[in-house]
Amino acid sequence: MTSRPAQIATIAGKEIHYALRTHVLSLLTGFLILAAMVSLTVSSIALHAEYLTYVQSRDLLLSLGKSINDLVPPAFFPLKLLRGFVEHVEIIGAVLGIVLGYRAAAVERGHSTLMLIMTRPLGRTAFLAGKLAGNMVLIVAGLAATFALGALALFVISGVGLGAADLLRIAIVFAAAILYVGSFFLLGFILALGFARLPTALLVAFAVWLTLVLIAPQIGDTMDPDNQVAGGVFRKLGIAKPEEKEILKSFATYETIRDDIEQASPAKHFERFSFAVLGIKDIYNGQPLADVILDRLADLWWLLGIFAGLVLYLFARPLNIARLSKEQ
Amino acid sequence: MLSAMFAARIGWRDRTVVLLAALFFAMVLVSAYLGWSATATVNAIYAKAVPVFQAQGKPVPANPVGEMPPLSLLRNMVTYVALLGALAALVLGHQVVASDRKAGVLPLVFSRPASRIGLALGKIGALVLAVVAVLLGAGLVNVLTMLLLPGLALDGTIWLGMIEFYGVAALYMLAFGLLGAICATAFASESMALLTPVTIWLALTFIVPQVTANIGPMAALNPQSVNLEVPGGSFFAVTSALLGPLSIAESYRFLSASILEVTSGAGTTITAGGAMLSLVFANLALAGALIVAIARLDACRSGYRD
Repeated sequence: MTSRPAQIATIAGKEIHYALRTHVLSLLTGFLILAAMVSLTVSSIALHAEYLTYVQSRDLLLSLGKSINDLVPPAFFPLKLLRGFVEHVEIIGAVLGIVLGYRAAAVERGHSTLMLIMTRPLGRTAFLAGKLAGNMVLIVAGLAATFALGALALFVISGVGLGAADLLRIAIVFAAAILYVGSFFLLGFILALGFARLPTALLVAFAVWLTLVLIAPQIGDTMDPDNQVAGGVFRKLGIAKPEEKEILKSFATYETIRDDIEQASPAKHFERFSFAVLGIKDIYNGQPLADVILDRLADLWWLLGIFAGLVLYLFARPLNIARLSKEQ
Repeated sequence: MLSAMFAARIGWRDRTVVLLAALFFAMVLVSAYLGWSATATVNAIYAKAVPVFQAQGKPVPANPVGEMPPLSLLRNMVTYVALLGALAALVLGHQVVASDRKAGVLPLVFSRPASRIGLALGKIGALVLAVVAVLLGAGLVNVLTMLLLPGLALDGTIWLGMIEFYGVAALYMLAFGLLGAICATAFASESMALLTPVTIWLALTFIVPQVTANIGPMAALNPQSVNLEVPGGSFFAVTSALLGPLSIAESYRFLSASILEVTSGAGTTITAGGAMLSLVFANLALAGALIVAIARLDACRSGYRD
């Protein structure tokens, strides 16, 4: 009888081998890379267009003999170009995780190999750990390719060499992305192991994805008191910042509910953490990395907590092999 | 007609379709709440601001609620149709064809003296029925919301605007339903038949608007994004000219945001006529493609590989 680590490694190896043979993984990873590259390219073209507009305005003012003091030149921070890149990881990365999780369970159920595997001297824990390990390797590899190509493209497009500090920031976001996509893998896997019908499991996973990744942040954004009127209600009424803060104190409960809706979204935690680390959010731009991480530690804890909670649930939940072996 | 009724019944018997439709209805209710919340919040802010103006001796401006067009209360529907509506239609379209393929009834159906074009038209009819039924339900919720909200001046133009919005939403959802049906017909693997249209939906919703107008993936969810200024330069001029007519997500967002009066019309190169043409043409092309796909389906190998 082989040792448990060897069993886990065998299951993980089989998982990787099988995933590489199908088109699903390559299609989604390729799509994520394509989306990320498109986003980076378009962001840099937009910045270049903004710069050209500035140069034209400056030259026009100078030719007219006017001052250019009021003209603000566009600021250039290479890592800020990663905004769309992060958002694509947020949306498409989660889909990649769900599909991998669904496939990990569906492949055994669809081919009726689950019962066969369980007739071998293999524990339920080793089986699940092997599945988890194999798919986490696939997720790490897919995200590593995306982030490495992203960093390379950023260097090529911006023409500015990325320093060690920049690469460290990208590496930290990469680590957060592993937790985030890993959580969606676990969601897809748990649902596909739990539902009697596989298509229902996939659709429920997509419904959860829609709700947590796209709808919850959108509701939170819509409920922002200042977003209720085009251009902002306070600007529309001509209310100064100090008075605005004073008025908003009466909306403390409302703001708490709004924030709670946003907090329910792992995507929002990943986004807030990544935007802070990369300096995309202006208040964190140029701040020391340690200070930024300390300030956004709660988001990191949320991502870790969701991932760890789902891992615990996966192993704690009983697996009804006989029921799952009957594909419906 | 029989084929359409039969396919529609199969689609509705599927729990996944019902689940997505239920989620869509839940979001219609959320949208109604958010519409009410927008009015209530602005009213509350205005009530708090009036004493501040009076204490400062400044003239009290008009309540911005009065300037909010009544239909703009439904602005969240633009997003929910683009997300849940399109995805529900996609699954419905998939189900309308896939149920026959999985049940193995197609060889029998094709052996009957009925044309394949008739079968394809029946499937399209079923999709139209289902999409219209979902949107009628959603529209009813919106009508009740508008009637219950106090202080709204409701006239014929408001109701006409609602009908126009739901007409545009139906065209958009139908396009994804047809796409789901085409992939369910053309692919040998069911997982690829589901995953491919979802990937196309993701690309149309989140990637193409970025290429044509520099609208980021998350900003693309906001109906106000049609007001964003497109950066200058030849790149966006070329991409919007080439990809614009294919970008049905942008056409839908522009038309619906215009109808609901949440756009100023600034920052866009799309015209209402062009956007409508793009949606209608997409539906006609996809319907044609579905007819061809069903006509070419090999009856002997009509089951899925997985």
